[in-house]
Amino acid sequence: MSRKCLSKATLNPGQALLTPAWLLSLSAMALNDHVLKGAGLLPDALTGKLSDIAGMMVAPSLLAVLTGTKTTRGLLACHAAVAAVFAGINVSHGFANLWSNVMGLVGMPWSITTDPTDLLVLPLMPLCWALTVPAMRKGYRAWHDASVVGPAARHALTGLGALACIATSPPDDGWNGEVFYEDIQADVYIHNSNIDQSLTVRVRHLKQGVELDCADVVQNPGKYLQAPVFGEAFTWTMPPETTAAVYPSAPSARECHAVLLESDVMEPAVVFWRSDNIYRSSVPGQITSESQYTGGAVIADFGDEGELGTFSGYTSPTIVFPQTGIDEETDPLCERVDPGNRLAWSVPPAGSRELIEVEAGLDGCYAIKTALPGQEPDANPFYLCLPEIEFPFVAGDIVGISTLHALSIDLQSRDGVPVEEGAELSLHVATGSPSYNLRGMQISSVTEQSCAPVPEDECGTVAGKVNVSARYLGADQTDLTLGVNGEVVGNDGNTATVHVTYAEDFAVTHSSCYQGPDAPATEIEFAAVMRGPLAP
Amino acid sequence: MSIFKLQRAPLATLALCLATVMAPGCGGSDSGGYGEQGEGAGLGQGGAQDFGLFRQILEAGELPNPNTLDDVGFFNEHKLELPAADCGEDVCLHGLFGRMDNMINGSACTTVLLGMNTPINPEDLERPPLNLAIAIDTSGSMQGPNMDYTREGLIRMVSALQPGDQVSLVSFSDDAVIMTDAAAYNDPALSVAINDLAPAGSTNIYAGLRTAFEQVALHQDPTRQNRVILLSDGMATTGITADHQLLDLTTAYSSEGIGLTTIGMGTEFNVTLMRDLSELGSGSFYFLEDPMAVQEVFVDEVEAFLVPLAEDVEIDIQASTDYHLRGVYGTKQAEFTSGSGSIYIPSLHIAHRTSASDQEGGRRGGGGGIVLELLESATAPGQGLEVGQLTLRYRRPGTEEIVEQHVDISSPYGFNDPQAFFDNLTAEKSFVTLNIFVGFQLASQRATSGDLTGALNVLDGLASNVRGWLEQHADADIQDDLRYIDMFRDNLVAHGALAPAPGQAKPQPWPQD
Repeated sequence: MSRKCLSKATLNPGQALLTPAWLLSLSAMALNDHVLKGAGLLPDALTGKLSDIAGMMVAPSLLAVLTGTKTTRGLLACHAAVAAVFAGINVSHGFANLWSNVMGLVGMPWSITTDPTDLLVLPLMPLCWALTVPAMRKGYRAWHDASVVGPAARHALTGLGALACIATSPPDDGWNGEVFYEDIQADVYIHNSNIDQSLTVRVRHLKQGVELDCADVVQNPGKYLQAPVFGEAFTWTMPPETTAAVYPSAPSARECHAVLLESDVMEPAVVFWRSDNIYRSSVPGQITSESQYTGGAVIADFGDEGELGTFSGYTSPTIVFPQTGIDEETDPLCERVDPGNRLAWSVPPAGSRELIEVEAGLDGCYAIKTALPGQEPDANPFYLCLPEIEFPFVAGDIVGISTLHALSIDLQSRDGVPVEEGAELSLHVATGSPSYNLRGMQISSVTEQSCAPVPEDECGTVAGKVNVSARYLGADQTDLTLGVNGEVVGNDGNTATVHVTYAEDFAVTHSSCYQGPDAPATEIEFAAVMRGPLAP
Repeated sequence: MSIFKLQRAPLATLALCLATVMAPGCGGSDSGGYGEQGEGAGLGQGGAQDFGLFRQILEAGELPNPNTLDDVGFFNEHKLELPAADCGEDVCLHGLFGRMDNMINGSACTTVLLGMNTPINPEDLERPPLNLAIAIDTSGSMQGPNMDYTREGLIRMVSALQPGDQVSLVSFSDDAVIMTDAAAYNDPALSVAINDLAPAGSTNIYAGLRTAFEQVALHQDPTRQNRVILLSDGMATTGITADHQLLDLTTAYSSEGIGLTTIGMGTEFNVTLMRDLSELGSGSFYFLEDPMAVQEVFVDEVEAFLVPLAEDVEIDIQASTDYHLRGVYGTKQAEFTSGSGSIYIPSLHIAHRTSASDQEGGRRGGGGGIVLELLESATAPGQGLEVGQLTLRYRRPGTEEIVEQHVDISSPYGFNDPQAFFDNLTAEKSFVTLNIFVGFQLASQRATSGDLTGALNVLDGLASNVRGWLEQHADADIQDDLRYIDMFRDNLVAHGALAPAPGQAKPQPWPQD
């Protein structure tokens, strides 16, 4: 066919609408979509394909009429467009969504089942061409009397054809046929695997301020992720066989993620996954076959009558863990540290100060009022909460106060006599770091390997035991016991009383609820009273 | 616990009355003590005195958040009549057993009501004079209506003070300032100080609270009510800010007989902290979302009656091998494992409110109790007849003398004959109260997460069961609860809840094991 012939306006597509093949196809499509589908009269496989075949005949000619196509090139484009849309909606959930939305703009959203096997009808396109295009040419001898069946009939058939193509399915209400559920974007998603019952599930994400050590938590997520680390729930009510993303929009960047799933009819479960294992992708809005599952599937299986159902993972190793309590007996040697005995102080005045008043409160915290030497006292004290360790200063002492890295108070003079070298006295109150070097004394910490991390139920933090020891350079090591004063002796006359108030290695932190590090780490906290010819 | 109307006794008898209160075993009598059946007076459970905010939200047609429901406040609105206070001591411990199917999903439920009362008759006592310190947050956030209403409330309070009362006013922002030091009830310096309260700076709660405690301790007098009131609208932002230090501070002074009432204004303060502080201080907790309400609170507080009867109170709970201890409701001070638990209360006060607004048509501060929820052990070698033992230990105020009591709890029916049974009607009422509390909790959790139908499903079953119970037992508190259950249901429907499907599963009301 020459280029000139292709572009020459010689065709009348309206005549194709009056061919027996087109009329028969239109009738078949309308009957199939609105009567046969879901009625059980014919196999689903047959009704599923019948409309596709009929549509292949109806749509290209109809599109040519609607677009006023008169040329062969235009007619080819109409056939290609129909084939492209048909192929698109049958291979891509995303394109099917888009197309349904486009049709929704004219009030007729399509219910589309994406099924690549429907592409088998595409080879029928040349047959459609052969049956309809000849009728569009001049000189075609129609089966009907043109004087009787005129433009009005063609207009009516155009309308009917358009309606049949747009309104492919009747409204959902009361209809037992397929219902289209849009694809979802998800990494991890829940699938209600029941074919009859809806599932109401409450999904709780990790709270702001909760941080996980993924390598530790993966050992037992059902135990290590307790309810307090999860925020308020949002609820999905999922029709049978549908899916729902646990994060409707992409979650914030974390090495690993966790959600808690709760339902009145299911056992609660923790879903835990590493972000480099499961990626966000398009997931069918409705899953009818296991073959459609991806790695992030969490399958909800209803229990028998009167019993709770369970969530389970599709992949191995699983990402779904039954939530267990924390009541199981913990080895007393591995128990959590009482968080109520921590050190605390308000901001003190820095530099050289005279202690005016040192008053111990009933709660063990000192109110310490100071003054610049020889001047009027400050109006307000600063407060220092210490464990049961001797506060080594008295009113009248001149001390140097520093808050660099830790609170440090050094005696400068007592009873008006400057402290000589070899008789220094200082208090170091430190918090947060796993190791310190204080004037020649090294304090270090080691996580106790025989103790697994232990969760607590108020804030949901998880931490393991840490052993703390201290030694002066070249001297023997002293193992320090939490809550007990330990004596550390150096070879050069230095001595120290060290009281460790806190030492834990965190796997789960909750900074808005629990005093501790902002992210998983080891934290030790102690007060040390040091005496002797202290190193500078 | 009972509500008692105060009758003013002649001032001359006050010292005698107080001496009587403090005397070991003073209230014990052959008849078992005060009350129509000698049931005795209730002992004050500190903390939230009501669940008023939860009720207000329902009355406004809204759906309450579970955070607005507190078990201590809820139980304090339920009057629980305990058996006679005839133990021969100032404080008597009771443990009342109950077992029945729960009112939410019908699974078996075993409870023990733990209550304390005293044979001492508060009607014989006049309100002792106050040694009061009021710590007022004057941080920048108090600027405007919060401070205006606070000043107004304090001025009204001054008018309600009685001869003998003394008040220290402490303001705190970056630091604490003593505005008046034990000013007499009619000292004009009080009004001047109130007018001088000027908001600016950050919130140093520790400095304010400690200074107030120290002021009361400085003037402490066993013939007075020695108390602190703390008001704040925000979080601690400077000074020592850790919650546990503030709790330790309150515990330490409460053990010395100094109580604490807390007032939280607005919605930005630390609710848990303020609630826990008041419970440790055996005082009230006020959650004032509308700052205008603070105008009445100070007057209520200076009219309240709080005399310590016991200090360093410890209650040990030991379940038998047939049961696990699964939950403790009505206190925030419980620590427990599956087999045992303990509750520490710094001090117990004889509770008696005189404010008219507390009595007229309201249920506030009317009761209180602690309910233990137990689970049958899988092995149950004793078949469930022995339930457990409670041990009460406390120190008499002002002495080192320790008093100890034991209460054994048993069931007349074993697990092989699991009949519904309650030791008495009070045990049964506490069981119903617990079910309603848990039902409200479950429903508000679901409503907040958008599961309106799930919330309605919980309340539908609960309403039906409570209604059935009320047909057999007339009770004004539970009747009023039912009104709020129905109101909650109506609100859910108005917000779009669909009718639950027939046979829709009800949730398990107790925590998972």
